Amino acid sequence: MGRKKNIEAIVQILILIAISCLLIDAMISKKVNYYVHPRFYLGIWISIVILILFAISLISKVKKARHNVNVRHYMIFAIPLVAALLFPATGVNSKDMTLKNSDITALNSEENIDNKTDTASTDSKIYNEENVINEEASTAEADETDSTQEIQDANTPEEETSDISEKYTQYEKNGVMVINDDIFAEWYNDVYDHLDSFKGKKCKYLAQVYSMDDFKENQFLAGRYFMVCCAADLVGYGITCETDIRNELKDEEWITVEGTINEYQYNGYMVPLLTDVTITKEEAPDVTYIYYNNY
Amino acid sequence: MATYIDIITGFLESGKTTLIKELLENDYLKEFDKILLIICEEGFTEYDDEKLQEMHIKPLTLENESDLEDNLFHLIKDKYHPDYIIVEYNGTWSISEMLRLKIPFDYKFRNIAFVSDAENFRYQLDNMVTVMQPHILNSDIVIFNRFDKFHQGTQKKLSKDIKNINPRTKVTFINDVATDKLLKERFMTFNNPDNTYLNVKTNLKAVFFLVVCLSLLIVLGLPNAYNYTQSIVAVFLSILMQAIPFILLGAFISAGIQIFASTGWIMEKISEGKWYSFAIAAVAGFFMPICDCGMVPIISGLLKKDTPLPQTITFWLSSSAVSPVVIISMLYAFPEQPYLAVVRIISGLCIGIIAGVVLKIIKLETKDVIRGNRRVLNIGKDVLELKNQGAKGKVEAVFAGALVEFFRVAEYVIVGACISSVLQTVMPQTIKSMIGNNILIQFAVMVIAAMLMSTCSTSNAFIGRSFSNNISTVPIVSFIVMGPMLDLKNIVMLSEILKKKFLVMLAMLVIIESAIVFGTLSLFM
Repeated sequence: MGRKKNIEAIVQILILIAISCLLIDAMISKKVNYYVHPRFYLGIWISIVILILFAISLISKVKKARHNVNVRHYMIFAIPLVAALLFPATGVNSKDMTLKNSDITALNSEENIDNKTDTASTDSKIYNEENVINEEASTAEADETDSTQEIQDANTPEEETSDISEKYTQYEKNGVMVINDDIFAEWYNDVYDHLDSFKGKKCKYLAQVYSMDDFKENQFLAGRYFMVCCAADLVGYGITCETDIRNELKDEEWITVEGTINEYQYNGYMVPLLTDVTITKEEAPDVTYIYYNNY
Repeated sequence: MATYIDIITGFLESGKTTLIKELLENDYLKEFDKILLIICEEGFTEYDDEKLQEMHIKPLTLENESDLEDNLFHLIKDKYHPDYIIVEYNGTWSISEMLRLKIPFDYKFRNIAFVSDAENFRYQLDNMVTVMQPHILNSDIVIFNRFDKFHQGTQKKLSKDIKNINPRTKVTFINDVATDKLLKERFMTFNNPDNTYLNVKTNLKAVFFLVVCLSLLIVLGLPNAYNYTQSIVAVFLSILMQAIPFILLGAFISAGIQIFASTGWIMEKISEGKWYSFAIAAVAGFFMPICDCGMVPIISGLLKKDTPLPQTITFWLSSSAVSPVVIISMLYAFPEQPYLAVVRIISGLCIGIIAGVVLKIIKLETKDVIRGNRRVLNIGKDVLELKNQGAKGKVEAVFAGALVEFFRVAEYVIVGACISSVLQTVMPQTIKSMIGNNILIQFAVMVIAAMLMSTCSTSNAFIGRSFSNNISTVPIVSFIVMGPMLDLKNIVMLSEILKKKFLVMLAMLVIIESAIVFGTLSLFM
């Protein structure tokens, strides 16, 4: 004796269980770090609970037999499930860099353009002209920067200083700013935006080695990947370093880099440069990305 | 050989008995020797006992729904040894009561045919949707009769109603039972089209084929192909992962909106349709701080509840500009230009309100643009078959509704995320190479980017900022503002409820409005 079952309910239960299993696996194995910002953790756990509750509530419907059921459209759920199994997250590994390098080059020069509203041009003939505009613009925008300052100060009321770099004195050890992952994003943006106040300071942070096509032989980029929301907005940022042992460094190698912040001209813009660099090789950390903690 | 069971269902006087008689008389079932006819309803047309005997057909009458006992078919097998069973089912009985019965292993439900009187169909669907819907949902074929007065267009509308309930159900308007192609297809064993199994199999094959092709491409193709695909997959999965909590939240809110008729002051005001309601609709998004993919189910929930179209669209377009999370993200993405957050709010509100007013002026209403049959799309309380009453029942209804909504939306999210993850990996480089200094070209590029690079409204400020070395401020702001409005993923999701034509029109409207708004802005900035 057979009994007709509600195939649709069975398919739905299978899909719900498969999704929750993948999510649980991602959460427990911490693979979720490669996909989304940690602030989604709670949401994902709640989702897992709801999906399982959905599956349980469907069990009673399995007996509600159905005929001529359209289950074909559920095939679509196979796409993410298969994709997740075939291409497990391995983070940004060495092979991914070939894609992201160009981003780093582009973004590397991007930060200094924030002060001006004109379109960028890398044509060397108008460098000087643009720099003049740059200076004018920065004086004109001084007021504005101040108001921004106030907003930022309002957010962190303990600090009421005009020199942005003093924000990081609390992280100093023996005169070296130790920049951990949790403050890296903020610090990095501050260094680019207020390069003058950081000049001559010493800093130390964990990074990966990247090569740039247009770098000199003794230069490399010590950078990390930054995530705002999810892997879709992942971008690579870094600071140029100068070292004599460039040849000993392999791409994507994890290092702690310690050096003095200087500046130099890159593609027509003044960008930070680390000199007197000390390099210590490191193991890859559990969490390879930097997460913006803005909100 | 399997013993087939065919079920002919439909309301009283819909023509079931006539159909069965004609099937029997027209040699459809001549290959069977021992036919059992189960009659669950005594209609006005009656069977001729003598004639039945002549054709070796044994009738069996079931008086009540409770006669459908679990061992029914077992007893039938022992007593009658039929090689074919045709059931004249009672249209007011639950169809799943019949389908859930235990059947011997060599028995098989072959066809379920829903017979309907075409003239009364729409009236019945309006008034008895909860009784009718399960019958149509389970049927392989819907047979309309008495449609003589109808012209082609009306027939098409009825077919559409059926397709909305179950797209797999075939529809036929019967002139002559003897020659009907569809009936022949379904009721003659040798060309029995019961190929559900086959369909699934071909589909599996197609998926398998795609996977093989893809892996071949990866192995043989570019050395980077695997990693390239992997980064696309990572983006794809990450979009889905961050969307899941919001979709679930949206599904619950949407189900809540549909089940509790009035949803508070804001919704009432929006529904009033007065002019100031646009302003309320525009700022309402501030109180629903969820990202745009979670907004889509809410919008469709509202539309299914028949909220006026102009205000709902205003609410939708503005929601991503006034959300507190979005405002904060703007402040952080552009710390040197905090006024851009204000620009975003104002331009978002403008575009939303103007779009709403335009829709109001051209008198477009919800029922004109909504897809398919709202009665069916709507999750009715009874369709969900509740066990509990009162407050408990309502909670159950929201939960069950959210489940239905989740599966409905998730399909669209997957398709949308799939498209945008591929484009997002390819787009940035393309965009950068397409940019010139001309602000018009920049604007055009940003429109395309806004459509194709579905990024969450909460994070697209940061994406926009990454263009800042190639593109001037105003087009960037236009990208950020238009992003959630034109996002392909959202449009695909909305196409579940809204007609494609309308969505294209809305997208055009948004682009034109943005061109005006940001064109004016660029004069001042």
